[in-house]
Amino acid sequence: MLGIVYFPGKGTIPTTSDTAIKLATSAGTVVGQLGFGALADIIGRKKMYGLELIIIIFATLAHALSSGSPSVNIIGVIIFWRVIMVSPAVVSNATGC
Amino acid sequence: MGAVFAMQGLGQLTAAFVMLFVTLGFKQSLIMSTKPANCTGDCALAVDKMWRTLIGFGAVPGCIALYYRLTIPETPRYTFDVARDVERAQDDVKAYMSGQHEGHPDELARVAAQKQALEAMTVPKASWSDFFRHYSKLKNAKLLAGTALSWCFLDIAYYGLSLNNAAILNVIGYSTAGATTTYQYLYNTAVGNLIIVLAGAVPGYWFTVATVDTIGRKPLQFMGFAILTVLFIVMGFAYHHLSANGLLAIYVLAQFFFNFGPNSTTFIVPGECFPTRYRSTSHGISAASGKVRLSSFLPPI
Repeated sequence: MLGIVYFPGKGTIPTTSDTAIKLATSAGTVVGQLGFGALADIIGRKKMYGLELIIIIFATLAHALSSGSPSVNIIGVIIFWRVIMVSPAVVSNATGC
Repeated sequence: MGAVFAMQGLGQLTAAFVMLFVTLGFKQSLIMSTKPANCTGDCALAVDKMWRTLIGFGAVPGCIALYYRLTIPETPRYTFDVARDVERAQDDVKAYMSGQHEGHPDELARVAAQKQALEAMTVPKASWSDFFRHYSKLKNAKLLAGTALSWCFLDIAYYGLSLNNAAILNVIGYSTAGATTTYQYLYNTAVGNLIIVLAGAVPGYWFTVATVDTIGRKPLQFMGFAILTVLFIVMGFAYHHLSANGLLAIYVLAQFFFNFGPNSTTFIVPGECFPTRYRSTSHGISAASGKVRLSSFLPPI
């Protein structure tokens, strides 16, 4: 769907950008799982659950409201928020947007 | 724990439904363009609203979960083993057994026991050196390697495919079949997604929940990997002989056995087999090793 909106005439995201988004998403998950996993052992599961969810909710809303500008590429903004969005999540969601 | 994981299926289902509903809702705008490539003006505006709704909707279950997670009590094992609050952990256990929310230990006894425990506890305290000592034993290291590697091998196939549900529906020709408007294209994608989730993933999760304690984790994981191997061999070698619907059927079956098998068991086992003080760390290492392969050597399709 992003392809239809931001790449008129083509209808799809260029493969390189698409791969960049998916790779960054996975990389964010790796860092998040290692970091948040260790943190949960140190300061407690319950505290981390709450913190993780607050980050996810905030990043999700920011992701939904993000858009490009003359100096900022939409793909870059999406990667930025998506990495933050998935970093606390053990299971990332796959909807194929 | 399997039930917790099965909620992932519920999430996927909700997302698939939201996608379908926004497509139906914006039908009037989408039906004007003949294919995604010339979806401009009103059509592009509609699609822009659609993806934002789809992503933003993800915050709704998050908020519901936040409420419940902020009100659940800490697990007694953590309270006992890591926080060293012996009295509190004991009272929490008693309370959970009798169905109450959390224990209310006598504060004086609690502080006294905590102090005593600090001096007398023989359970090793979590630290980096203890962490490395724990995993330098071959038995423990093998356990971590086993959970991490099986998760890694699974994710190569699982996320390689699942992140690309829409792309796969496109490649096997399901979403483009008979689509003369952008609306039909998106509608087919949404329905295909729903079929995959509803027929494959969701029942797979719940089959695991029902059988994981009777069949056992190891046989389940072994069976899942074996069947998936067969399915992918069939899909690969017979690719050109199968219709779009045939390929979709095999793909749905694969999704089913991902979840009624390795995808669930690789998640459940690390949550059970490590000592409490390193459980989250080890679970994180196992889960992350699955995603590492994406970032390092195998880009998603």
